[in-house]
Amino acid sequence: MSRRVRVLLAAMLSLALVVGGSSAAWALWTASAKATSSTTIGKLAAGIKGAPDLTTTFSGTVTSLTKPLTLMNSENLRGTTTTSVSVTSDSSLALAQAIDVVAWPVPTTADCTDGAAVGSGSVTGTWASLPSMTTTLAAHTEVVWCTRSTPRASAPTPATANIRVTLTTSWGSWVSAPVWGGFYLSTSAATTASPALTCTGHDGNYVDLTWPASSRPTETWYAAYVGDTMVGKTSQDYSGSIQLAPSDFPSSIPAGTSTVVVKVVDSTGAPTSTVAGSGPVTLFTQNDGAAIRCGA
Amino acid sequence: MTSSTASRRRHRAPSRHRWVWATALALAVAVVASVLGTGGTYALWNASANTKSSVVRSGTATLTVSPLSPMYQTAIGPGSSTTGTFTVRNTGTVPLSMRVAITATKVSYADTTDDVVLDAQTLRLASVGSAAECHAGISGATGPLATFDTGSGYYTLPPGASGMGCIEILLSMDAPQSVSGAVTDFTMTVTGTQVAP
Repeated sequence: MSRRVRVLLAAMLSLALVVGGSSAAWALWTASAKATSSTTIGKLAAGIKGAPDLTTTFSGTVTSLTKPLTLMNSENLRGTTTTSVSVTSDSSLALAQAIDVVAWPVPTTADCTDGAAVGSGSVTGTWASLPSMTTTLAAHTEVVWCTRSTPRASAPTPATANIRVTLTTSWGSWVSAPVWGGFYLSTSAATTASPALTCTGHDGNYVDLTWPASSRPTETWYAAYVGDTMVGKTSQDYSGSIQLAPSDFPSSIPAGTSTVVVKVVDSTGAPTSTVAGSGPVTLFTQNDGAAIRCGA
Repeated sequence: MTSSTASRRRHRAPSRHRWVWATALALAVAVVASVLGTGGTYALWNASANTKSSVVRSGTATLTVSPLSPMYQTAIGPGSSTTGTFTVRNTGTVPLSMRVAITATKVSYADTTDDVVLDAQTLRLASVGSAAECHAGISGATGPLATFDTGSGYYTLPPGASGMGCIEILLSMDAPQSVSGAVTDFTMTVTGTQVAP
């Protein structure tokens, strides 16, 4: 590069820098302000109440047990509560397998009575194998499931089953630590579960309930009960049956399946502890109005 | 020899007094100029009038940010979020180009590292008309909570104007359960830069 070219280049560069770099300088104002907040990542936890209240010994007078079981979401995150049942190895699996269970959600524990009809969303099985009482619960809320346990006639005696209901609450891949509630179900040697009634339906109009023969006098009076409410008319062993129509059920007994227990009544008409038999009937509606059928 | 020396002296005498003549000439010119200059004086006319008084003020660049509405009350789980709103007001006299950034975080009650907790949370920012419009699933600027920054020029706020911002913080669906129970405090800084004239 010749000296003349270098000089020319330097001159042009100087000119470009002077012309291009001589613009006005800017100093823009700024202002700022701050705000603070925080987030809380939730936790999952499950809880159970009422399990010990399910402990009972079935007998001739205690043929069924209806008790509430409360499942809780005890933390600040919404979740789905699932349950499973198991029988401890030191107790009778055979007995647990011979006790039928139906469970359904109810609004409150007060709605879980002996006469309460099985509601929607029910699960059925035995205490050895019961489907999950699955419920989605908001944070710090609970749900009441009404359980009805009825031992079969084939239930072993005497026997005791130690039942555990285990539950967890989950959300996505998160699962709470499991918690469980336990109770004992027993049958005594001296008594057995109540025998089953024989039910015969008549096109929904009414059902006939008969009970197994016994050594009781034929003059013995019987009456049918749903919980503590008497349904139908009393009957003597002469006839050996009680007829139930939908109109025999007061409005306090809602439509659906109810367990009818036939008991011996005393001379005043009050029920005694002697159970002749029990079984389910169902109130429903058909095209010509209220109807009743045998079973669930 | 003698005659030539005498002749040289005769020629030298006039040059020795030449400066006198020059000085005299200069003085004469000065005197003439001065005399000519005194021929008259000049007074140029002038006039003036006052305008009404006016004040020149420089502008201001100031803004305010309201507190964020509480976001901790809604516990978040995998895939869920909590929202909060804030209001920015341009209280200055120049339009401001806005920037929103998270400038500080603090993690508490965690069973894992701070980074795991922070990485699991995503921030969304949107402009809304009212607090009722601030809900889960809004669309807007999105980024990790700890490093969220819209950069300058997110939007321009004219002098005297205000705007409501909606923040949604989302816990990722695949967040590990070890972040359960953690509390994250964060500081949001809103910066307004004068729009270049």
